[in-house]
Amino acid sequence: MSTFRKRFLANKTAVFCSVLLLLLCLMAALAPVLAPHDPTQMFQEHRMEGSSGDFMLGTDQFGRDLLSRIIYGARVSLVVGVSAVLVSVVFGTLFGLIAGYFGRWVDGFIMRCMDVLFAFPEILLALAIVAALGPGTFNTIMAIGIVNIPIFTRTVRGAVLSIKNLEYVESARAIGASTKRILFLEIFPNVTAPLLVQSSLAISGAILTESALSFLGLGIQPPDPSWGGMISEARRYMELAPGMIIWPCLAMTVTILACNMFGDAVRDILDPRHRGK
Amino acid sequence: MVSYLIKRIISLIPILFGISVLVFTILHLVPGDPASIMLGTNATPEAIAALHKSMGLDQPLLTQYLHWIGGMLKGDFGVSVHSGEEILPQIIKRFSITLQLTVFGVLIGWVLAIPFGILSAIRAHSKTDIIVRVATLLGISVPNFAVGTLLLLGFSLYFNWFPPIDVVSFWENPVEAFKVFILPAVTMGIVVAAGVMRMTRSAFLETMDKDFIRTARAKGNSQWTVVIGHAFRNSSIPIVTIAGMQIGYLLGGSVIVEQLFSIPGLGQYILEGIYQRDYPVVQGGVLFVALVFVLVNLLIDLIYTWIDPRIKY
Amino acid sequence: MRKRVLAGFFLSLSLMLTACSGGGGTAAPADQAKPQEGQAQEQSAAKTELVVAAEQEPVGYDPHKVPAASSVRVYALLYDSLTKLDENMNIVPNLAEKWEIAPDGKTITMFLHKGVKFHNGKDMTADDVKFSFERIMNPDTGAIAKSYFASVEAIEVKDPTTVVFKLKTADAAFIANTASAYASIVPSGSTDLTKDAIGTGPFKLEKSEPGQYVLLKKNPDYFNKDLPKVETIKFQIMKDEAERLAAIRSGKIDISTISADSAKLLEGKPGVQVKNYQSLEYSYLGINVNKKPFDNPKVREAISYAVDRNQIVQTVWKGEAALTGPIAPAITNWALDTASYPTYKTDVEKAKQLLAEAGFPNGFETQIETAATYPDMVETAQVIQQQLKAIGINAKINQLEWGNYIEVWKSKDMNLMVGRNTSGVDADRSMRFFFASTGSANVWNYSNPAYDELVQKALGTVDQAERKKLYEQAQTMLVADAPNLFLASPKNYYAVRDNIDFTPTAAGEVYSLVKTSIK
Repeated sequence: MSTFRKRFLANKTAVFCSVLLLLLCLMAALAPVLAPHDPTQMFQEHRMEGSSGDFMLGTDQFGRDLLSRIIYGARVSLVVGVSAVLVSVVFGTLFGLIAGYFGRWVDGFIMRCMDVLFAFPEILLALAIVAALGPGTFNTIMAIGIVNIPIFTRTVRGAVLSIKNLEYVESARAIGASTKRILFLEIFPNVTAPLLVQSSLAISGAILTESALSFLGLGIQPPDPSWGGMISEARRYMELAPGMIIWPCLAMTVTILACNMFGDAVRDILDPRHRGK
Repeated sequence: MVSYLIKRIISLIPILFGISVLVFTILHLVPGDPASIMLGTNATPEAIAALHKSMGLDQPLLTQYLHWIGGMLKGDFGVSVHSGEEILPQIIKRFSITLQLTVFGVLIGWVLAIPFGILSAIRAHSKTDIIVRVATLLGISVPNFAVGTLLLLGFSLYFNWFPPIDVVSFWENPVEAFKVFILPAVTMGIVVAAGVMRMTRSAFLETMDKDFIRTARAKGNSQWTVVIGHAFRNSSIPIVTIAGMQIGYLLGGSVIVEQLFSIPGLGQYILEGIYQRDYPVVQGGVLFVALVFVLVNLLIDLIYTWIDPRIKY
Repeated sequence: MRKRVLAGFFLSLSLMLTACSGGGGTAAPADQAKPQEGQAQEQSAAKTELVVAAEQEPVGYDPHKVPAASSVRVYALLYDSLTKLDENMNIVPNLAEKWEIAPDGKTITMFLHKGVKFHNGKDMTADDVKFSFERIMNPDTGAIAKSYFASVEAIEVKDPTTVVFKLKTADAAFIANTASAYASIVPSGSTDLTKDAIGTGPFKLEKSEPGQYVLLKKNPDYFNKDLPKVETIKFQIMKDEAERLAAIRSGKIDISTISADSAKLLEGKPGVQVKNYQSLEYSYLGINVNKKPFDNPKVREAISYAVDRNQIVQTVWKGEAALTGPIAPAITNWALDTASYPTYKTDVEKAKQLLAEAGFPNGFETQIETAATYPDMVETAQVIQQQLKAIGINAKINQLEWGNYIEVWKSKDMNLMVGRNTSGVDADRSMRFFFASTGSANVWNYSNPAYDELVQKALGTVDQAERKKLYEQAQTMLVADAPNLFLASPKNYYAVRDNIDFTPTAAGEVYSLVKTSIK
């Protein structure tokens, strides 16, 4: 692991992106301290204004402070992105481990189920799930999470297949370790790396899916600010108040870029063939 | 090869069956029903009951499922509960529109992504590499409905230009179709580009490291000869994989772009079906998209053998 | 600066576009606005086709069965009703040339216009009228308008151009109800009107291309020889407001409804005019009077005092809406001046006090249901949520997809619900249909015998002045009981190309479209 750390620290992109992501998380955590206003408070006299001393990024159609909404929006968007991916990772890993380790009909059954989920058009599936469960942050997270389970199942299964017959797993089995032990203590640690890469990419995907659901009217419930919700709301005011769409887009872009670049960098670090010069 | 094909096609059956159950279940879990949506806040209970009867929704769910799946097995997609129109002809018509949009979008994505991906790989870890990567990633960092709106707004504001409102096919009138599809296709292409570019870059990085490339280089071939002549073919497998996945994915995922640009494609048809609880439309549409998706994946596997004759099934 | 960069970006894109499109384009990109798509009829000097943007796809054309606005705007051009409304909200003759009401109000004789033909060439006669009304009243049809004609006992054909309606009780709303498009006259013997639409209207259904457009052709035999003035009307389906806006700017469409925000943008821009009228719609906050704590009238009164209707007008409708009671102010004959409602003066202190008296000094938690499909409803819910916060009521907003919203509306089990209603032309609909104990749109569980008696009496009162007085009492009673807070009645906006002579009025789009001409 220490070589990983060394390589990680030597990779400028990885370091830069992780600092950026940490800062974003910090912003989300400290939202009540950082935000100059209550993100839902409407200043009637200041609707759709440009930036000013009091409202650094201007206000929206209700006269709510955009800066505060973006800061709080980091909370909503990151929570949705990370939790949705956690849902996918937990179920995906479980299914992937089981499928890969047991093989045969278990594998066949799980993978066919994943194929079913995978072949279902993603956004329509998410939309139908939210419509069935009813709106709400938790349900949105579940919907996005369920949609992404197959990707993780495949990633983990592939990794399991490639290591399951390696020596150390064999020897663990030979000394009579329980299946659970082998799965979680011997095999799982070795699939964390591809999972990390996949997760960082999936988080950005989840944030985008939330915004698409917002566009279709089924994202995070107002007045809670999510970046996707802000963007889809601001679309109607694009010409009247461009700031309303520019700032949340910028926030989203930075986050997604950081997630993607981080994922790519970690992949490069882990993959010896891609190691930088 | 033939036995492989047959095996693959048989393996599609449980998947399609699973999808039919999944779509039927989720759809009927969604609250609301087509009759009350049609009648809206003007509804009276007797009007809803009368409409239910005429839509065949007064039957038990299992009966409805068996009736539907029985029809599907005979190739009968049924009729829309709203318009009473045959569903299959609509699906085919709209699929052709979505297909054109998707292929156009993917082409734009490739044209943008592959050269940049190669450039990025050749100059890996340089400033050029980082700039190119960030630039392509920008495409997937902004929601596509924002990009699409910006395109529409920009063209109408600055050039007074708006795509033709009647959708025509490329084989009817290519020039006109180009104008119809260009903005939505660019909106899709930007998203496609990010994935293709990333895959191209890593595929090239990998091949460029291989022995036969070193040999080719050592022989004194120019950089470009090496890239085009040797590396390209060997890097194309992962590129084809991702392109195939994207076509399959976009066919179902073009919903938002179609909605935004009023393109009467399959995605919009299904979406509208969900909103109206037009059960047979959504069920038939989703099953069709899934079928196309798995067939595209099968096709990709076949293309592998053509690219790399060493792959045998 | 930013603008210039953006313009540069689009310029280069557009150059690419013109270059790629194979020479069709000219040097100045703006020229592309002119239709050059090579369609013969578009290129001919005189434009005869009117292109109207449709926000939603029509869901069928049976006037007795389909109440969706997206369908009505189309089939009301294909069919006629016995009477219609003019721009001043007066009922004027249509298929019925004139009518007589017996002194006791129970017999109504309709004299039909002579020489009216259906699109299939058949004459429209009293038999068709009888058939149409019987089809509406048949429970198996499931017609929306069935409840409109509950007072009808029998329909008699006196001669081919005279129909007599015998009523059980006097029905002052009867004539007004015959103006509804839901009471269109269809040919005798029609069973399935979903596909073929054969009416007497000014246009014929030429083609319906799902997801794309609906094409109507002029009916050359229309009984009013001067109308319509255009050869074809094409309803082009465009669901996204941004798209409609871009399309009308570039002249691809001629007429489009737009929001008040977009109206501000288009105001004074070349090529496009913005027109508006005070609509018959109003937005409301529905309150379930059966649910605790809303069963306490003081809580409802407190909410009424807490909600600042002017802020809703300013924020949601950008000032382009009027305060409203149970009857939209555009219906000047019936609507009571909102100044007479005491609870319309926002008073947070009084609201808090009422809430304390009701036993909720610290407020309570509740939910507001709203429909995601309509941005104005979502915005209204957000404003109300903030205003209720001020008196300690914490409301969670549930933004529902339309089908789900209808389901909750039907369930009669919501807490608070934001919605929009259309006032009928006659006060009876606004008052009885929505709020009488047996009214089918009364999903608020509101039941007040005094109110029921009042509106029932008004329905049977033929004397207009007397009737008006009764409805004024009923409106005051309703606002005080507050099963709904009546919020704002917006103006409806249209963007119209300069060369189109189209004047929208409260009488509805159809009324104006028939008279529309192309300059």
